[in-house]
Amino acid sequence: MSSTETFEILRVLARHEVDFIVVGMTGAILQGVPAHTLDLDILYLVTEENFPKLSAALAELQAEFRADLMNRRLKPNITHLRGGGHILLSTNLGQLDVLGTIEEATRYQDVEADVVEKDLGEFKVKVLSLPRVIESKTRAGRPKDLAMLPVLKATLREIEERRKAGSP
Amino acid sequence: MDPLEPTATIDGSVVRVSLGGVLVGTGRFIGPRIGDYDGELLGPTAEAHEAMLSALAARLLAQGKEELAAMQKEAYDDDGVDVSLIRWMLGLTPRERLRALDDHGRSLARIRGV
Repeated sequence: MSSTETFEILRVLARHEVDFIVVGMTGAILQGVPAHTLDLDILYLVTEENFPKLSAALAELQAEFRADLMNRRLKPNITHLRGGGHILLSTNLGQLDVLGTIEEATRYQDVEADVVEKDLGEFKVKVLSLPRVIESKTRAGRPKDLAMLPVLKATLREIEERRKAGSP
Repeated sequence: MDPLEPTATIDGSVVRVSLGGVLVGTGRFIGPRIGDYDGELLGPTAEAHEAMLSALAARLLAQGKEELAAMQKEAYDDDGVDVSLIRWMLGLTPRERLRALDDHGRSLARIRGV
């Protein structure tokens, strides 16, 4: 099977052994939610050990800040990563949002128990579980989040029904 | 239903007419009628034959509507979510889901001329 852009971004992150969790709609899609999104959101572990790995992966992806109105083509560096905020990037493979926290101030460590692992063949990625995505979007309460709830909940229901029936 | 009354099944646009379980003719579903019929006469007169073909066509239409309605009922949940899409996605591997995501994005970009 040939690669896709999202897969390639994830592969670069995995190759650099970055500690991250796929959050947002791509995480939901990986779990079977029929949806579309234009960016890949990852929640990274804010530690000194993780910064050089993430920084190297972002350099390989030729990542630049996409929210810079002056279009200076600024590249993210370790000081940005230390900040632990939302780093919204364009890469040579698409849009990538590198998040130090999600929701109000939820960190990687806070959601580690709510993670599922998805096998992409050559490597595995951690993904924020569907129940946790639903909880997060419900809590956020913004129209764009609430709009996604019916399809997220319906997918979770279907997964649970399949689990009960013993089908994959 | 009277076992000696003709019945019709449809496959694509091809209509097969049977009598007592035996195939007696074929035709094509053209608009709301069965055309190009080739087979045994379905009535004692040409008028009766045409009337029977019309009745079979009407029955096929009604049956099609019922089937569609049943499938649509299956496809959507109470919130209007298309569960058939969910089932399709759940039938894919995670990697195939990423492919579906990226292929869709690429198609949209192509349509928009980006």
